[in-house]
Amino acid sequence: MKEENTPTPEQLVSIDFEPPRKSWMDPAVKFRKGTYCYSGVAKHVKYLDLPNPREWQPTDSDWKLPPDWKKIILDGMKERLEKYRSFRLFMDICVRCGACADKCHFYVGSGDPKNMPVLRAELLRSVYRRYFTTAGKLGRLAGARDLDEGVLKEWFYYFFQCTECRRCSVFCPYGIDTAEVTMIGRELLNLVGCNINWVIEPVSNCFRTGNHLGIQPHGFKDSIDFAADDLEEITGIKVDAPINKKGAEILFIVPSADYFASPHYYTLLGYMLLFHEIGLDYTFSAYASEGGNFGLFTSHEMIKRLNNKIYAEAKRLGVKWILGGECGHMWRVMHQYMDTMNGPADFLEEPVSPVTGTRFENAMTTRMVHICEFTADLLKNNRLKLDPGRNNHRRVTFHDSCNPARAMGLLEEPRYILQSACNHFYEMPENTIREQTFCCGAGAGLGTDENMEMRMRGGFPRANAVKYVHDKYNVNMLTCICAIDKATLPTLMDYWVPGVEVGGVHELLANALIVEGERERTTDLRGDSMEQSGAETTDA
Amino acid sequence: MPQEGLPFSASLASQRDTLVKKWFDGMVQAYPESTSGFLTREKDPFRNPVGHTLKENLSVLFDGLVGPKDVQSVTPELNDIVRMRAVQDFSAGQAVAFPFLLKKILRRECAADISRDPGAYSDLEARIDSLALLAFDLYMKSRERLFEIKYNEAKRSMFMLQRRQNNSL
Repeated sequence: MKEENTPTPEQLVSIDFEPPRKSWMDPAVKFRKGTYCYSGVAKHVKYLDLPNPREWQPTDSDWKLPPDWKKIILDGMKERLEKYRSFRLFMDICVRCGACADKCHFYVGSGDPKNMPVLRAELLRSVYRRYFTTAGKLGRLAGARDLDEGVLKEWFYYFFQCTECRRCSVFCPYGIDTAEVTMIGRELLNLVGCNINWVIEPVSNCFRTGNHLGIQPHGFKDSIDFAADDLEEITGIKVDAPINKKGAEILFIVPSADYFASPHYYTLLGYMLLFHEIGLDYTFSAYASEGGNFGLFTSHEMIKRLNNKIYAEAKRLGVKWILGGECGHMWRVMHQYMDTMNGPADFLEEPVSPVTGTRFENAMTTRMVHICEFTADLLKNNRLKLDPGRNNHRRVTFHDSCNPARAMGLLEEPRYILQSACNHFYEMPENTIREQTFCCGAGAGLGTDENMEMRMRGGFPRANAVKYVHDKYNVNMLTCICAIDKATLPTLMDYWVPGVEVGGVHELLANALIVEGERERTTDLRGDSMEQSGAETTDA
Repeated sequence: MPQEGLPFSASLASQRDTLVKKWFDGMVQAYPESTSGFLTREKDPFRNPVGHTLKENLSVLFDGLVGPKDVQSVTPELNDIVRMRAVQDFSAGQAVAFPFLLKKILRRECAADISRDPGAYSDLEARIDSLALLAFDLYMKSRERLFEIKYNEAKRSMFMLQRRQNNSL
């Protein structure tokens, strides 16, 4: 072999990003295995009456787009520019100051410049300029470019690499919400049948059975009964867990993973034990059996379609108000869209805690209260007896799940609960929590296993902060209040910070909860011994 | 600057910061221009975990290479770097080639030291080769881990299904 054919060390370490040398305006996306999500399966696309159901994959050269796809996209863009004032504003107002550039976890973890929020939005903005502004006639000089298949493929690649976590929007001086740009980008892609299966299948299941997993009412009941049996085994107490009980005071909505997956399930046990202890008159619904709403990752229309069941079930069951469990994007929908889309919920009453009498004025319009608000209020009014020593085997930190933190400002309540229920609680560094929290890297429908490398890149900033408290304080449990977090953070920890488990706030609350009539507790809700183990480090 | 009269390893140790910086620069220059600046400039370890992981651990790797201990003593620090590169946009070869970059830097920056004591340099090159092989082992572990974590995740997502099946057996 000639010497010039042998790569130099510099060539060997050169990262193969596109476009490292070319202009960002030239689209060039490589769909490398591990960094993209598989396409929406035709039967699910069809079930939802969405356009262009077909068998295809992003790696195919021919995406089988409709012949007039370009017109469909541009017409769709025009319609949305007229319908959503925010979209037009976000297209026009960015001055490219760069404040958001290094705030995205995908950019921070991967180094790909097109993951800078400003540049990701520019992928759409450049097409907006070309077709909807006068200056756009100048073409590239004005930052405008033609819409072609290369651009569309780039949209697909990068808009399904944004978890809509909204960290970048915290830093934007103009308040541009890049998540909304991504939402519109995905909506446009859906118009020509470009969607991902990890979103479309749950949406289709939800539309059919009410939940992402397609669990039917008898399956739902089985799971809840199973949980009641487990609680009896652990605590000696048989709790009542009503389903579809007409006339109950409160409808309780959870993400479906709570009654199907681990470690979510232990949080479900936590809620049920808490409700038993305070004697709450509540009911689950076997149809409103999913708080999550992957419509948020599809289109505004789909959010509304899937969310409709919440108020419909509340009305059918005749409850007074709604309580919601630990879930992330569910709360963005409930807090920011539900009232406008499917309200007013004037058939419900203003939520009042039956235990403390507290009026949840913040939920006056939606009539739906977050479980952490509800429980924090119980604790504040000394209505619960806790033995935090029962969590001494857990050295705990809290990951602010993006949507409850940034979309509804729920920052103090979960901390208040954790600090009441645990003796060892440690915060991660300030610029990685609260409003500045780093995403798990798998939200907005990207938590699928074929996308694992991208998830590990995007989750690295969060894992890096967990590693810090793990090394410094021997933290061994990362708590959160989001079902996607509970599904994907254990995987993130397995890779980056082995030795850290993931749990829910109400799981730890129920570990500590002293329940009347309980037998002596020797294990936590997971069946793990409550004896302290591992090396002790000095508390900060 | 090379120190006349110092033994080879002591001379390298005296140039540690310069050599590690060049090693770091060589690695971040492999990223796109707009990113390499960020990786170098941003000092906050939580805002810039990639740059921080490289910077902190390359120093330890360097000390491990020129010091008296076995190269394996730096395995945790090497793993921190390799685990990160195993999921970034690198081929396997690209991900573990960075120890070789140090050879090139040493040859360029420490020519006088090397010519004075080629035997010691040859030993150091052998240690760098060992580090590269160790990096390859760690890379493979990380890639295997990626598949294990997928499997574990799938199992967790079917937790209740499995329990119910076990119950009905």
